Amino acid sequence: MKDSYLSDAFFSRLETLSLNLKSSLTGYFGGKHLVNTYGQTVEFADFREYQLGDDIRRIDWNLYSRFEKYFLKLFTDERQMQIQIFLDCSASMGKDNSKKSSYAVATAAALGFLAVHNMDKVSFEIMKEDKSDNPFGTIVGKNAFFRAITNLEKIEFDGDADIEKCITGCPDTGSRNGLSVIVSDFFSESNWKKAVDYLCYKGRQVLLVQIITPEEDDPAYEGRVNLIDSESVDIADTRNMKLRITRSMQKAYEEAMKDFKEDIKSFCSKRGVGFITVKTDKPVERALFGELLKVGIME
Amino acid sequence: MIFLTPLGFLGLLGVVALIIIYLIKPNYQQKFVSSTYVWKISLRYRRKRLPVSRLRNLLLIICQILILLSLAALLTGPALKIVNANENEVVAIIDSSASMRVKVDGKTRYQRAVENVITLGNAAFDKGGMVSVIIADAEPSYLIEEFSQTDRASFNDVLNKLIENDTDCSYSESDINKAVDLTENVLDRNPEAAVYVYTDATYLNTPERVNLVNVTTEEEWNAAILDAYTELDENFYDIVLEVACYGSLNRTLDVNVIVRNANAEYKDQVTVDVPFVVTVNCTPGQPKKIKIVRQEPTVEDMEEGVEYLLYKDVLGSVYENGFFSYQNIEFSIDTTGGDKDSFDLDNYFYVYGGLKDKIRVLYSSSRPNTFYYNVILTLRNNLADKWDIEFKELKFKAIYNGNGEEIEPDADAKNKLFNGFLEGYDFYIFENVIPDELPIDGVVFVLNPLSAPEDIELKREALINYKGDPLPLSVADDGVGHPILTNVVAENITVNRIVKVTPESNSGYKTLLMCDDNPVLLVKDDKYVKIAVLAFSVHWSNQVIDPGFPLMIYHMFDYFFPQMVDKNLFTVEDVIRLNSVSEKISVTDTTGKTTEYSEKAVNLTAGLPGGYVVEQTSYFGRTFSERIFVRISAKESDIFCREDILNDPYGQRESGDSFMLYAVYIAAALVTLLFAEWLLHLRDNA
Repeated sequence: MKDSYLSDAFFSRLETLSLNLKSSLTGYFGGKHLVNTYGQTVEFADFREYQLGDDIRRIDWNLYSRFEKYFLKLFTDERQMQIQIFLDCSASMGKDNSKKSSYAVATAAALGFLAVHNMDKVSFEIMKEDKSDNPFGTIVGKNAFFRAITNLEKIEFDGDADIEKCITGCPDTGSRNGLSVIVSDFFSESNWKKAVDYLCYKGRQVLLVQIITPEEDDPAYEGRVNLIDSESVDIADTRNMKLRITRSMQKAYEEAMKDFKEDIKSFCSKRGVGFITVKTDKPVERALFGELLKVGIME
Repeated sequence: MIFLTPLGFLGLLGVVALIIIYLIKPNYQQKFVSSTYVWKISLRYRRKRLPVSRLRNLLLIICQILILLSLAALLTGPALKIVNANENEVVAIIDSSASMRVKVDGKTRYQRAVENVITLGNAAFDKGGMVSVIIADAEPSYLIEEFSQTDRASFNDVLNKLIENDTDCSYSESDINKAVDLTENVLDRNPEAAVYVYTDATYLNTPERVNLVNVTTEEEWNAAILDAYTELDENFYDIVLEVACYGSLNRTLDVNVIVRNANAEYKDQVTVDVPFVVTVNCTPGQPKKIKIVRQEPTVEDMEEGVEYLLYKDVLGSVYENGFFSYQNIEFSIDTTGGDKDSFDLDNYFYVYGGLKDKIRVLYSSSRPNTFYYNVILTLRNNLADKWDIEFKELKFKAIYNGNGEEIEPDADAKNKLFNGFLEGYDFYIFENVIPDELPIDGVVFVLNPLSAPEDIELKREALINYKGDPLPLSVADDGVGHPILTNVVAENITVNRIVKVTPESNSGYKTLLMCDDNPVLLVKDDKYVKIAVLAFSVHWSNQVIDPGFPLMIYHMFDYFFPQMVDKNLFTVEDVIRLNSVSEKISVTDTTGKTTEYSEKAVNLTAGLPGGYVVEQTSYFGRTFSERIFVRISAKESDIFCREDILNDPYGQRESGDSFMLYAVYIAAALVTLLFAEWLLHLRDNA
């Protein structure tokens, strides 16, 4: 039976938090996010010199009296953000470890909830093989969200997922209108970095959420083992490995994992992409929000 | 290098097993993981150190193989041959016991044995071997040790001298087993050396590798007087004789007996020699005992296996009672038909001691008492086997003063009393009245002196009376361990009255007993002056009821008149103890050679069989002489004797060469390898 984190208590905890995303929006659904463009809200943003054709009702007469020049007062404009959550549904994300798959789903759901709670639009892209699938469409509002979540929990994690192809091949990745979140363990040969670059090119704010289990972070097993990759086709699959795990091998793994994360972090940092790693042994919201706070996604 | 246990190479199969173990794919546990992506990356990290890891693995395998090789090596027992054992080396033991003097056709067994050894030795030299020869007498020793070919001439010289000199063979028994043990000197170095034993004995159990060469011949035989002695029965002597023959045939032996100076009254008295013959039929190897007696013994008194002859049957009525004394009895064997035996050392036998030297004792007393008289008589009986004690009593009446105390007679009276009694005795006992001039030709024993003549070198003072309970005597410092006080408990002797005597300074007296710090028994033992002084009277002590006093007198006699020899019969190699009472004691052996000794006690080893004469002249001018007979051991008379076991000098010794074993070194290497393997495992797991 799959573990499920998506309880009422979980969502009520999520409701207490706000999602503040640095993003510029072009959408006009009037979501709660203030964007960098100027709009018709009452929140003063800036002054600009009058140009021929501007609305004279926006002229600030106080400034004129002072400077005997005409200036326009600019106000912020709230737009609705689109959160696109790419969920890696390959076997490594939980075929043999239901906890990981549930955790991944919970993470995606948590992010999705935050979006809809802030009246943003959210969509879940299910990445499998080399394409992503949006079975729930764009979700607006909580009702639709919870309906989608119910089905999200039923998704099977198997096979592999080429993140690059899934994302670059996605018909609607949006542009400059929101946040793209990739939820994966990134244990893939796939050139997901290219996908990230693609999303950055598209003007999306990108967040990488890496989900790993404690055993994946620090494997405790040793001795002669035949490691069967969950994404391997058969015993002879090259992904499978016969190892004699000794203390030195474990140390090598530790180093490799550390460098692996550092590599992702460095890549993301250079591109202004957020990257968090959450472990499945911590409560989802605590891990998620803690990490999100670290990277400034949340306030 | 050789391998003492080649089967140990089977241990190398362990190496094959090890290789198979490495080749057989080990069992891998299947583990399902989400992704091996990071493991694959980690391999790259691992590969950075791969050369070292591979090297460590290689070292581990090498280490394990070496361990198995070491174990196999240990099992095979590799060794280095360090000695090229020479089987041409020989050790020859020549039995040098008396029975090896058995002679046939002019050649003794010993000479035959030596000839064989010469042949054996030269043969060994021809093959390049070494030769050692051990002479096995009572104390075996090497005559020749590890002579090689270059010493051939010397070897032949030494052994040929043995053949020429008849005296080189001993007269004693031989210790062959001790000689065999000596061969270990050679066998330790060369376990392949052959041991030859040339002997006339046969053994029930001869070690396999020892070559026992019996040098006897069928023609040899021996007639022997094994033993002879006398037994005193009611002052007359029974003669006991034991004879035997050895060989293949029954023999009739005529034993010639001569009783010299039969029934003499005193020593050196010349009487008659009484010869007679005792004919004995002997079966080889079965000794016969004959006893010549005065009267037919009762059935109860008869000893089993003894043939009894009556004097009257042997000697006629003249000597039907036998003999009450003899100077010596000579025994010799003749065989009927004049067939001479091969061994003559046991064909004669002498029995001495039938007459003793006379010791004349004078007991002089103004109040003679039966106590001293009986003591001396008892002494005479007890020492009858050592001395012929003649006892003379000189009695005279005591003179008393007005107080009832005895006093000495005047000088003239004394001279009259002692006229003719102050010389010619060996032991003078003067009680109460002491002559003014002590005798100089014997031991003087003074009891309860009324006076002290000048030459006694003692001051005689007053009488001391002890009122109340009698006082016990005590042993003075000089008396501790003194022979005269042997087994005498001084405290048991008590006195009421003593004479206070004080020895003059430098007089040479030793105080043996004291009473209340006053000397009561003093002894002076100088060369020419031997005096004992007892400073109390029998009437004022418990001497008569204490056995310590007669014992003391016995020891005193023994002290001043020690027997020259304690017995007259010895066996070759026995120690003869001689006691001297003179400046020197002389011993004349069977060859006529005389040796003089100046020590007071002499220990001699009787090397030659036959009669010896021991003589000495005491400081008092008396000449004492004693004869002793040294016989060969009765065991040597059995010239075909059988022994039980001959020692095996090879024992647990391994036949073949000596080796230096490498096991210790291999074991050390094994331990090192095990440690290295453990270390590599540790590093591998680190």
